[in-house]
Order: sequence, then structure tokens, then C-alpha cells
Amino acid sequence: MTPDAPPPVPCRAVVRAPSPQGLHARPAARIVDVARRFGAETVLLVGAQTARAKDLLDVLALAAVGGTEVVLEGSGPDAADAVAALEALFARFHAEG
Amino acid sequence: MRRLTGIPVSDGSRVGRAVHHEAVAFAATQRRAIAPEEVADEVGRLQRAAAEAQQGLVDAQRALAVDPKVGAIFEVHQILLEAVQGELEESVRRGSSAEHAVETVMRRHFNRLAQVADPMFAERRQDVLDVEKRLLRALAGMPAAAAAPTGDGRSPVVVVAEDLTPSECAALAGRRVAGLVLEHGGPTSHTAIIAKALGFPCVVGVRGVVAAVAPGTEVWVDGTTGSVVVEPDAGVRAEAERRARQHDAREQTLLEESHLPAETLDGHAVTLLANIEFPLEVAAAAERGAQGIGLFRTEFLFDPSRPVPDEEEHLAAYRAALERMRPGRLTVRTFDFGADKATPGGSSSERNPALGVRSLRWCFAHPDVFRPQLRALLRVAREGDVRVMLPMVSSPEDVRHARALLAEAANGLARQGIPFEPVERVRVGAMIEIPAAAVSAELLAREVDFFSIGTNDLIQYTLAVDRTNEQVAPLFRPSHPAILRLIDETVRAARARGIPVTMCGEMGGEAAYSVLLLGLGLREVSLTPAVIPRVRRLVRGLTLERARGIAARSLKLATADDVDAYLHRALAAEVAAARAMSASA
Repeated sequence: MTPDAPPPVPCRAVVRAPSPQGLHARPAARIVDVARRFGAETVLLVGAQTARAKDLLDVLALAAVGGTEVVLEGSGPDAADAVAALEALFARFHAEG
Repeated sequence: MRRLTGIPVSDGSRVGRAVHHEAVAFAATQRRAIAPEEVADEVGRLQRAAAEAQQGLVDAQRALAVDPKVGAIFEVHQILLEAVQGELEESVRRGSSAEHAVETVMRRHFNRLAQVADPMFAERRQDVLDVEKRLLRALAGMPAAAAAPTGDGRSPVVVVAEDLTPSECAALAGRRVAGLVLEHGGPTSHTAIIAKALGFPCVVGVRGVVAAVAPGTEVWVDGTTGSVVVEPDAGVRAEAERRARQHDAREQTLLEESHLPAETLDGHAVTLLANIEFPLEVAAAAERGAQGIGLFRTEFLFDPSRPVPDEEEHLAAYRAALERMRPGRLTVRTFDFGADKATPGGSSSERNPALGVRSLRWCFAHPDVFRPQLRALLRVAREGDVRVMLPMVSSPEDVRHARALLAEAANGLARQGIPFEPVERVRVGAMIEIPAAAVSAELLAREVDFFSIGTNDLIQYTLAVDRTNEQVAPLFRPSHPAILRLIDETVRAARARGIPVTMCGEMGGEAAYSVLLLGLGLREVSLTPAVIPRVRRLVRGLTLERARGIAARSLKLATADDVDAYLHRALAAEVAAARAMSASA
């Protein structure tokens, strides 16, 4: 990286926690599962709180109830893929109802 | 005989002899550190214990396969166990004994969850604790769950404890357990779910119960009302047995009728809503066919021992209730502290708190506490049908003041770029409980989007009776002609202006009175979930024409006794049918 290169822009997506259960243990476990398939470091942001997507208890401690807005951010080589996969997972949560 | 109360979390009425469930105390871990050459063996120990714990969870799930919710709880435990495995092994590799690793790692996660606002998530601490205990038991070579205390094994026991983990509660299955009473615990706990699944009554949050109930004492647990009676006398015992029989009969009819519409015989729809205090109660409301929440009491958010609830805590609670009630409405009553409810901020130097700085006045005087509530309401109103209900409104000025504060809150949110529902689209209503509001309902109707009649306070203020004062409590009469006239006036004013009017006081849940209210023009009633089925049945057995006739006649009578006697005669058949449904009078 040359001294003038700008820092990499983190990949980002905005999703909503599934209703009505929110990000309880099972959805949280699936998030962790998906996040771990990638090398990138992905995080979930809810309000002022950050959780590492690869850490179950981090995600659980977010206490994201149904409908809460969640920002997904990833940085690293396959960040775009990681964020896309997580976004798709949230879409599946909503489809599953 | 002594009566205690707590939060009812699992229906039913049973009597049994108390046994105490002692928490298994593990000897404080002596060995914390291990030598480098012991690490490999210790990791092996840990892995074997974890495998045993996993197997124990699989077995527990299978044993309680009947209820999918229970299975889900043990699935959560399995997920947690798997999630911490890496951390535990890491800790052991760094020189910690397996026991010490388990304690420190699980304790850390426990503490993190303690900081979470949403009660449902915070209750997951019990799950963390359960997994910790399971691992420690496995490491100690003990069986998976503590042997359940069962007294002499023949007569049913009431288990009394400070608290129980879900596993300990599950271990009560198949034992003769009449009921469970806990000192601690909340309505959202997994233990409560398991108690419900196992079918015995459970009451939690009963302060002082462990000290008050000696082992062997007879205890009546009423999981429908949250009442716990120690050494019930003959009369109370008979009542307990009667309720138990009724409860069983009721369960059956309940399920059959909850999906039927609350419509009179001549086709008029009545909206049945629920009064709740915790988001979890929404499930009970939904099960009984509630079409929305007509009163969500918010005082529980304020715990005097903790700092002022912030916006996020409010938001979490409102969202939780809204999500479970969708598409039904959520009507949130702003803080209603004072009089018989604990006023935050310490001792009251007022000589007459009921007529003092309480409720809405208190909120006006404490903007730092009120503002987060208003902000949270504006934010959540974006996500569904959320209505704001102001208690203790006495004049148009009260409403205007509250609206001005809402507008201020909106400006604050706008400046910070936080999304919220525009103020003009948020429905704001007034509780009609101060006589001045009822008498001038016509003026007030111009200022609000709906009325909600709070009969409990309306009756107290109008008749100048403190219902908690045994000496005058008999004077507290919902059927007093003055009350009927005030309700009549309020409903007329609302209809003239075209705004909805609900009743959220207890009067709406009493069979005879609900007919009267219907006849006076009420089409929306908000009730405690337990009575929704009986009111539905009542409505379905009536014609509006008849209800109107009854109301008109009642308004002509001179005394509360006359009204009650008349209603009793006129509605003998309907009231008997509705009562046959009720488990708790």
C-alpha cells in the first residue's frame, strides 16, 4: 500500500432483525456460522453497540429485538462476499417468518 | 394463614406441601492454575465434560419432546455450550484448571448479559448459568441435574426456591409437583416456560417466600392470579379446589372460542384489547384472541435501584410488545407513578399523594425521565400502530403541554438524524379518570385522538373513596349512578367528535357491567387477558338492542344497589354462562 492510498472502504449493508424473536440464540448461531466461512472480519452494529459476527455471545449481547435495524460491516479481502452472505441470511430469516 | 403475591407465569391452582430446593453449591474451586505438563490432560478432561454435557442436553430434549418450546430451550443450551468451547480450551491452554476456566468464562458472559435492557435477552443469563452448572457437574463426575426434592414421594409438593435454572425445573418432570414458587425470576424466564410445559402452576418474584414457608407447610399456589397462600384455612382450601376444577374445564373451552369474533347477535363488532404490564403477557393476550393492546403500563421500566431508563430500554420494551401483537395496535400509557405505585426519587413529603405530583404531573416536572419515553414512542411509532395514552389528564392544557413536549422530542430526534414518525401522525389520547375530564369531555375531545376511560381511578376520585382503605372500600361501586352518568357523558362526547373511546379499567371485565357499557355506547374494551374469553362469550350472547335497553333503564335508577339488583335480575342467564368460564372470580 502506497502512502497516498486511501483506506479500504468497509462493505456495508443495512438489515432488520427478524420478527418476532429478534436475534435470539438460533438466528445468532446461524449468523456466526455464516460469518465464520469467510476470512473477513464482519461486525453487526445496533445503535451504539458493536458485535463481532463470528462471536455468538457478542451477537446475543446485542439483544436485538424484532424489527431492530442492524448495520452489517465487513473489512478484509472477501468482505463483500461476507456481507452479501449475511444480508442473504437476514432475507431468509424474514422469508421463514 | 398468610398471603403472598408474585408474578403468575403458569396457570393452574394446586395445593401441596412445601419443599425447599437448595441450590447445589460447588466447593469453591481450590485449584485455579495448572502446571504446563498438565495442560494436555486437562484439555482432555474439559473436552470429555463438554461432550457429556452435550449428551445430557440431547437426552433432556428427548425426554421433554412433548413441547417444542422446551426443546428449543435445550437447543439454546447446546448452542451456548458449543460457542464457548473455544474460549474454554484457550483458557485451559493458558494454564487454568478446567473448573476455573468454566467459572471465569461463563461468569463473564453472564455479566455481559446482565447489562442488556431487554428482559427477554437478559433472562438468557439463566441459560448461561445452567450451562455452567452442567459443565461443573460433569467435571465433578456428578449426574446431569440435581435430584428433585419430592418429600415423601406420595403427596404432591410445592417446590419453593430462590431461583431454578431451566434444567433444574425440567428435572421436576414426572415428580409429583403441585406447583413452583420462586423468590426471584421474571415472566420471560425459560424456567417459566418449562413450568408451563410441565403443566404445573408457577409464581415467581415472590419476595420473602423462602423465609416465610417452612418445609412441610401447606401452600396454595394460584398460577393464574399470582397468589400464594401459606397454610390456607378450610374456606380458602375449598376455594383452591374449586378453582382447580374450573381451570381444567376452562382450558378446553378457551382454545375452542378464542378465534371467534366478538360480535353481538345483531352483528355489532366489539374490539377486545388487552391490559398488560410486560411484553411477555402479550402471548397470553394473543392466545385469548386479543385484537391489540389497549393499555401497556410502563412503570416496570423504572427500577428505583437503577439509573433512569434510557431511550433504548423503552424502545426495546415497546418493540417487543408491538412485534408480538402485530398487526394489532399497541397503546402505551406514559409513566403513571404515584399514589399506590412507587414514586421514584425517594420519600414523598406530600400529605396527599393521590392529589399531588403524580403521573402526568410528575412527568412534566421530570423532563429528563419523560423525554426518553417520548423519544422512544416517536421512534417506535414508525414501526407499527403505536398510540400514546396520557394518564391523569384534567384539562386541555395538560394535553397541549404533553403535545408540546412531544414536538420538542421530535425536533431533538430530527436534529440528530434519527428516524421517527411525524408528530401529526402519532395518535395521542387521554385517560378519562379525573372527574374534571369526564365532565368536560366535550372540550377535551377536541384535543385528542381517542379517550380511554380508567374506571379504577375515576370511581375513586368521583366517590372520594380510597379502595385500599378497608374502612371505606365497600363504598367503591362501579354501578354508582354518578359513574354511569360520567361514562355516558364521555362516550357521547367522543362519538359526537368521532373519536374512539375505550374502557381500560376493571369494570369492563365484569360480566354485568360490560353489558351496561356496551349499551352506553362503548365498542372497545381493554381487559386483563384472563377475562377476555368470558367477555367475548358474553358479547356473542347479546343483542345491542337489549344492551341499550338495559343501559337506559340503569341510568334511571337512584342507587348503586338498585343498579346491581336490576342487572342481576336482567342478566341472570348471561352472567351465569359467563361465570362458568371463569377460573378466577
